[in-house]
Amino acid sequence: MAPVGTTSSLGIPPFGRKPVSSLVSMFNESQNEPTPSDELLAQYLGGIASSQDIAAVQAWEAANPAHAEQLNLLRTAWRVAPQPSPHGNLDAFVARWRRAVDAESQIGTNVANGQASHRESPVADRTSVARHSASPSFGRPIVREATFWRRMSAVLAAVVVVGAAWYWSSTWRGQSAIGGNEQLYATQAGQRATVTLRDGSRVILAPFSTLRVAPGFDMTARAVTLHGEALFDVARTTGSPFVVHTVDATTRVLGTRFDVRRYPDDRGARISVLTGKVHVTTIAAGHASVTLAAGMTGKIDDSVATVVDGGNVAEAAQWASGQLVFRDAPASEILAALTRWYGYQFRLTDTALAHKHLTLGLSTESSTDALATVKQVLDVELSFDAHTVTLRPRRASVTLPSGRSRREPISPIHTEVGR
Amino acid sequence: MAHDHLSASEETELVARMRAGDTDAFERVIACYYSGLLAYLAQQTRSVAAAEDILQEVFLRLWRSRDRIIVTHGLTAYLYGAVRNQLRNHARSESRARRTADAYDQNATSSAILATPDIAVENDALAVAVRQAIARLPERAREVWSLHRERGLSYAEVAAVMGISVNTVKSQMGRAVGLLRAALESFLALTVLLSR
Repeated sequence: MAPVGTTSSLGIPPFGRKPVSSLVSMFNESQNEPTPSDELLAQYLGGIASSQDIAAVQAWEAANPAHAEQLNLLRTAWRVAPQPSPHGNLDAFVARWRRAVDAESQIGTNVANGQASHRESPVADRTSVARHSASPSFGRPIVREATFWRRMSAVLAAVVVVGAAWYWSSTWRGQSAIGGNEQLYATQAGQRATVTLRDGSRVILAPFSTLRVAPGFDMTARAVTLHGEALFDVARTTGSPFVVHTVDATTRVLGTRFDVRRYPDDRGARISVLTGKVHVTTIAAGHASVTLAAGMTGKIDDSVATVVDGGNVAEAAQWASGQLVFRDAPASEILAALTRWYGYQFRLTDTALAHKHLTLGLSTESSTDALATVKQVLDVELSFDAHTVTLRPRRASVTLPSGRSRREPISPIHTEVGR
Repeated sequence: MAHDHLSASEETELVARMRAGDTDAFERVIACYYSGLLAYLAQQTRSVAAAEDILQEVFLRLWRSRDRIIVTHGLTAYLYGAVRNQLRNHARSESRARRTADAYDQNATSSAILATPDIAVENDALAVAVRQAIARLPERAREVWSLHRERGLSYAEVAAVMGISVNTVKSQMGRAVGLLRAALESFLALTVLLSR
């Protein structure tokens, strides 16, 4: 390699020298190829340079290994993904626009802000959800007072997506006496909601989950229906048992703290008991049942209820306090969780990645931290498009010297949770 | 990018249908451009909620004045231009509102602000340096970079959106690349050092 004045190249160019091209001209001293202008380089990198210009850049690149270094560095910089983009909700956006347009065409103009007024009473019970919702992606609160009804319409849109047709028929029609109507709580990607039920029981709802509270809750029975995942902290009352329905099982409890998980793509429901005792019965014919005490995990698998050996119940409920814990879980499962928590869609350039088994903890508070961990543990490069994160196995570092790009391998974040 | 989905003929047809008040055409256009426009707005406003509101206002205004939609430099340039105008109106009223609101409530605004400036998903020192360099570009170069490099607009589209000449777009992109190179100088120097 040609000798290069390294001291000056490290420093800031002296005043009066053209700062931007100083480096190029310095490297260029012993060579005759004309240095491409920054404008030309921008066009070259953007793939819109003329063939003549491309040839000029390539000639310059070939003339000196230092030129090649520079160009490679620029190419890498050019590829650095922009900041991750927010994930809007297109359906909710279109629905909101549509309502505004409909309102205008019916009444005239300037009524865009009145679109939600007639819907206030049926969803009034749900305000508590939105107000208590925590930790959406990007760290913004779900609800700001001014945009409250807009946020609510997003929640409603999620309900529609879930396909809860019964909701429209049963809840949408007016309000009856307190406790007389069904209530529905729904979370979207990245949202959590804390619901306090009439008996004092507290339910923390994980992302992409719905909790339906039956009419007359706490009057005749305490029954709720769950799609997704929730952590229940059931108040001990002298009244009726608290019942959680999922598609495949019924879980009955008195006072206790337990986690129920049944996402549509899960094989079956999973129930993890932190304190107290629950009784789980399958929906399928035969009604197999199992009693779970504190520290036990039960699973429903093809209409069979079983106790899982060595399940860590504290880890199962860890999401409610900010951490997703995975033990020897396939990457596909971990990425599915990140889709729920942060709304990212993932694309793998190498499908073998999906089958890699990992043990790690991921933050539910910071998509940055979570993705950084995934990146390190899977040893992949991440690139971002609006809705999609592409995972590409990392190749040997192209441009950077090892001292700069290779980091000390950081072991996965690992939380010891209380047993 | 999202706006690559529409062919020129589809675009012409959609614009004609929008002018005629066809909400389906509007919805198709919204679906094509939503994520790109939202990303652009969120980056400019640092708030997803504000970005959503502004974008909603843009499409509502388009609906109201649908018979006056005249697309000269392509739908992409037209929509980004409309968004940019709305953003400026918003910034004007925002700064007016902020002067009065700030005295009462600082949290309300700060909690709605995205944490993006510090987000660095890539832990590579280079990626961090690149993002910082881009964030520090002069405003105009930054905007040109954002529209061209991050949102995928052509030079001609960027020029139409910003109301500047294609030559200015060229020189601003050159400026961005130059400043980027200067900012990354230390990486290069190190490479040279190590390879000696």
